[in-house]
Amino acid sequence: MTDREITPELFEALLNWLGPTTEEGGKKYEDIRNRLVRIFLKKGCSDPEYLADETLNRVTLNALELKETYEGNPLWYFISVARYVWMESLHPKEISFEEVPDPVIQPEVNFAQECLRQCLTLLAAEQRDLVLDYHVNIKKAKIDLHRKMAEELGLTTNALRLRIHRLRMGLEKCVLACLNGAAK
Amino acid sequence: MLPRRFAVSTEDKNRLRQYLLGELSETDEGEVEFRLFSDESYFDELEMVENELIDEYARERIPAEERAKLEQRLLRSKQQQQKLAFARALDAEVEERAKVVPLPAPKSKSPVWFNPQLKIAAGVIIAVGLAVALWLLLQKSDVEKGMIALNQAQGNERLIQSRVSGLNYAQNRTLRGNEIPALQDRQARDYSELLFQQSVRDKQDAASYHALGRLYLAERSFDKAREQFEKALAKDPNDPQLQSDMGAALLELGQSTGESEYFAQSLQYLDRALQLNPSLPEALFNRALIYQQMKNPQAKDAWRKYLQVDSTSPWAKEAERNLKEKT
Repeated sequence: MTDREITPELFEALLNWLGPTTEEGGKKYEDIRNRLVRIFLKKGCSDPEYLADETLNRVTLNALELKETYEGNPLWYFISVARYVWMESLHPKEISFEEVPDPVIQPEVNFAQECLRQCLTLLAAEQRDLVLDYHVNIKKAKIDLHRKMAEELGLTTNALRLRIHRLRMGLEKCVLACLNGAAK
Repeated sequence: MLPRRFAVSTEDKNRLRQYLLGELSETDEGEVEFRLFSDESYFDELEMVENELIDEYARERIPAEERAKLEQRLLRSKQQQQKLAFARALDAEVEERAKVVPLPAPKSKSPVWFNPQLKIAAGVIIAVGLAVALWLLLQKSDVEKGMIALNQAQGNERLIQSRVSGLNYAQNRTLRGNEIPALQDRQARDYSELLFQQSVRDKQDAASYHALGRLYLAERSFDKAREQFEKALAKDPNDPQLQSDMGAALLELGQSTGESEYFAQSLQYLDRALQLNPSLPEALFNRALIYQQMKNPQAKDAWRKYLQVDSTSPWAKEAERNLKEKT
């Protein structure tokens, strides 16, 4: 955790380092934050937003020096600071009894499946069939199956894979909302 | 707009798999992250590779060494555990479905009706097909589903002042100077856009263009919203909600650019909406708002007229506040 305070001057220096104008630097800042959150999430962090903010705060504290001396794309600097922040988060620190978080309750499969069934009804029939057919569990024949499915739809296998991905992400979002709503 | 796509090679896929498992060197990991920062399609690929890994884990098809790495690196967080729960549920659903629905296969060119087993299978398929057709009739359209997703994307704060048809009430949020406005739930937003664009492609009707325009308006892409509303109005000029939403887009354009000409155009659409339906709440709300913006003395009367048709909803509370504090 950073102890020094982030002043408006430091923040402005950061934005001016990131873009030719404060406005463009602001856009870049938001974009970097969003990406950091997503990257930390993909690394399995429980609190990706906190780690993203911690990374940004640490970089902001050095903004005046960076603006004057740093050469190259600022993204590299963010990436290296983010790496330190992430590595630190892997070492559990001592926490007081009051701060002990609730244990993570892994949802039961059947419960998730109930939610999945509800969410599947939100898809059109052909979308539902497509996503379920695509995930059929048949080991090596799967590649062949995906190729045939793509052919029938007049798509490349990569385009089909992306279409399925979009459907799956929507479905997953719906199921997680259902699980989290039901858990409250 | 959906992101532009770049080609992702098999080598990229393998590298992303190694990245997720924590097998890359510090330098290689940095390079992957640099690309994740600048290439949206690479991020999509990362998510696809991650899903494939989790699917393999759920089906217990992952080598022991990778299994341990995945557990240590990815599956520690609640979010990732829920992804795993989703993967397991999907797998279970696919398994159950495989018991009753045959695997998809390319159409055969040889005559098959002489095979009695296939005749029975065909009978079952026809029966299932009829049931599915009936079920389809009861299903919501892409536009309706997209609107559900759009309302989810908007959440509890709206980024514009005007009232848009089909969007639930959400508190109007004041934007900060440098802020890039975005709807609260990005994935729900993308999902609604996917459904609306699909509907536009399939039907090219007023309702589809109108829905896509609502999404753009809700996220403050006013020019894009206006473009879609124009397309919808060309197909159906007598829809009062569509007229009102076009008025809302012009109202917002007037506010964001400071050009009063937009307000005048907006009023024309709102008046037309009210000719078609004199008690349309969206149009009454937006007309009062525009008078208020123009500091027109008719604003008070306009808010009162709105409150005559709606005195109880959260929109009415906002109208009352505006009447008391801003006119």
